[in-house]
Amino acid sequence: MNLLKSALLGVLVAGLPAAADPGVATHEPVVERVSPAIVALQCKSPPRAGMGGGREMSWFGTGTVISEDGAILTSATVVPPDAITDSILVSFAGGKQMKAEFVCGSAELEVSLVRLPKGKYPYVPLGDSKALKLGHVVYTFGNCQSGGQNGGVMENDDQVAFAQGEVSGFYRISELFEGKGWYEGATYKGAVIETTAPLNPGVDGGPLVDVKGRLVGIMTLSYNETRWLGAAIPMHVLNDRVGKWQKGELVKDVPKVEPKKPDPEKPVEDDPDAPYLGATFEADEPVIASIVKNSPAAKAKLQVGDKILSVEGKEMKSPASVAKALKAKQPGETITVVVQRGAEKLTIKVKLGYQPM
Amino acid sequence: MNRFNAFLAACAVVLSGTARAEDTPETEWQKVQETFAAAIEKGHKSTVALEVKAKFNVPPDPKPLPGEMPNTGRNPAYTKRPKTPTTGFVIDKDGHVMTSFFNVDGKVESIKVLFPDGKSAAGTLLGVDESKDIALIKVEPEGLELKPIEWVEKQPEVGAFVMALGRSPEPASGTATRGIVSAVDRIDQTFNAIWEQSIQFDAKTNYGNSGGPVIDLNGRLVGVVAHVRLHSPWGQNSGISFATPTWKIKEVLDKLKAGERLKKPKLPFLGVGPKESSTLVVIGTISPDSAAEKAGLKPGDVVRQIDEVKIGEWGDFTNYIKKKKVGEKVIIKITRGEEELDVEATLGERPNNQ
Repeated sequence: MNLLKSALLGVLVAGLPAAADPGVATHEPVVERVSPAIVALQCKSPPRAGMGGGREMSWFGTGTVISEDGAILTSATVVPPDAITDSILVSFAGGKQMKAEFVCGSAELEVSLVRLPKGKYPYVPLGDSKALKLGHVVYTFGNCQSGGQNGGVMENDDQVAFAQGEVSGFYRISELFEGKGWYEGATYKGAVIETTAPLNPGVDGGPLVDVKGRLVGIMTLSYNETRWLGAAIPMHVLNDRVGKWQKGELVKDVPKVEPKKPDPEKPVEDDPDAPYLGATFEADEPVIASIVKNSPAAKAKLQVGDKILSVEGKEMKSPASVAKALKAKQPGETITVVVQRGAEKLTIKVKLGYQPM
Repeated sequence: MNRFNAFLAACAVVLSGTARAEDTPETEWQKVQETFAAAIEKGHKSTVALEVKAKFNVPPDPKPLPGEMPNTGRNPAYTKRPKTPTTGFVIDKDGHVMTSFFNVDGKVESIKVLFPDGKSAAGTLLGVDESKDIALIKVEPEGLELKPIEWVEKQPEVGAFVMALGRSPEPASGTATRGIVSAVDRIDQTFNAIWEQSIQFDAKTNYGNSGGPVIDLNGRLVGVVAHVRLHSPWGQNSGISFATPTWKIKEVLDKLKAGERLKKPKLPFLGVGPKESSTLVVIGTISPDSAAEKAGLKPGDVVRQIDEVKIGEWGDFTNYIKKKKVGEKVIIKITRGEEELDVEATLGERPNNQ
């Protein structure tokens, strides 16, 4: 097939004017294939504490049509999981606008699925995000002029923005964060594909597309502090949940409110509500059994074998009591811990972090 | 051209019968990306992460230039140190690892070298060359499978594809960014980390890239990534990067192996700034404690001549001073009001942040 194509190329090139664009190195086929399936989204959500003065919140960004029947995958920073259903407006390149229905969303995965009215739509087929290697060519698409007077309305925005780059890294956002993302609402902290394709606010929710024009990720604006390049949530992380949503199984994030009995067998960091220390304890004594690298415990120079005598002046008798004392604190707070290390009693300050996800 | 591609695609579909309707027509990039990936994979075998514990020399915040917004970024520490490991690369089977001087600039307490196969070893700092922003580290090669990087024979020309490899933030998988050689033999002692001939390229580099290799499409070493500086005359860093080329490394490699510390030369400094919106060469500012202040130069003085060189524009003035050495005397002919004066100044050292 390649041979045949080369032969065809030879014949055709010979027949073309000498100044013709060699064409083979263009990104046009992918742009043409993908652009019609890129939409701008805007919606409203109920007021948020401490944001927008108690008014309804406006959200906007990019979305990608992922199936012929009009399912649109976007970021939870564009259509939040609590979006007001009939507020979702979809704009296609060229200016055509339609209402969409909210299907389901996840803050943990930072994506939402919305659905267009019944019909046949251009869409971006699913690619294999696991097959990507460093150096592979990828594209991002955006369809949002941010900051419009009406909360990002796309007046006059009749074209899709396109950027090309390569896959430049694979890592987990949680390894780098000390706190939250840079962008209001960015909640995903798992594995990402980093790309050199430029991206801006408004491209969140847009697709990362491979060299064959297939969907391999959803752009997140949860930048990390060490690498300033764009990052995408890989589709292999999303496929399972999004697939269920498409079939009507509206699986939501596991609620985090269930009160749990502290289990002394379990390491403290397993409790998602507790601020993060990054240490595990012996079964029946508040003696440190292991310390996670780069964790608050490691940074405070706590050591394996240290026996926690008190936290914030309160005597500690069991791993469960340490867990309870931590739970009373917030990530980012600094606590004073007294430990027994050999014959020494040491007072150590620990700045608590956020739970890795 | 589109029609041509579409025609090809149509031929392909008809003839092969296996392509699916949703397939995008094949582009040359599908082959090109495998070239990129192969070069990166090869180069990464020699690329290591470095965990350096040190009391680092922290450069002062860069002084904003006239008209430039001061750096009010969310984290000014970006101009200083990355929080994650930095990068280096293996250059021979004897255990020599090269990185940037920036990564070891200070009182080094310990260096841990993390190899791509998961092994790690303690490293000792051998030598540095501050002007080239390079440093040489040694690890005990016993028990390690060292994969030395291959060097280019000839410095690539402007326009050639290059890639910058990193091992940060995640040492196991590494990072890679691609660009082209934008310029060669760049010398800039004002804004660059490298003070000697360097390669300018446009692959995006970040703080964790510092000390990593720049490679060509065959995975061969082209240069060492200099540390990223946020400061530029136009405020924002546009994304250009610099590397010390292999031929400059070869000049000093033996010295570095022998443990020499090659310092940056001291730069001469008079301590005057131009008066803006002036067509004459008028002094606008005098730096405190500078040679200019000691010599009694004042804002408003019009510079006409320095030693035997007539001064037509500000550049003539600064270019002349750049060629002098610290401690040398210059005689500056100025006009102050109605008076014509000869002022003798002894050049001082240029401070770090200017």
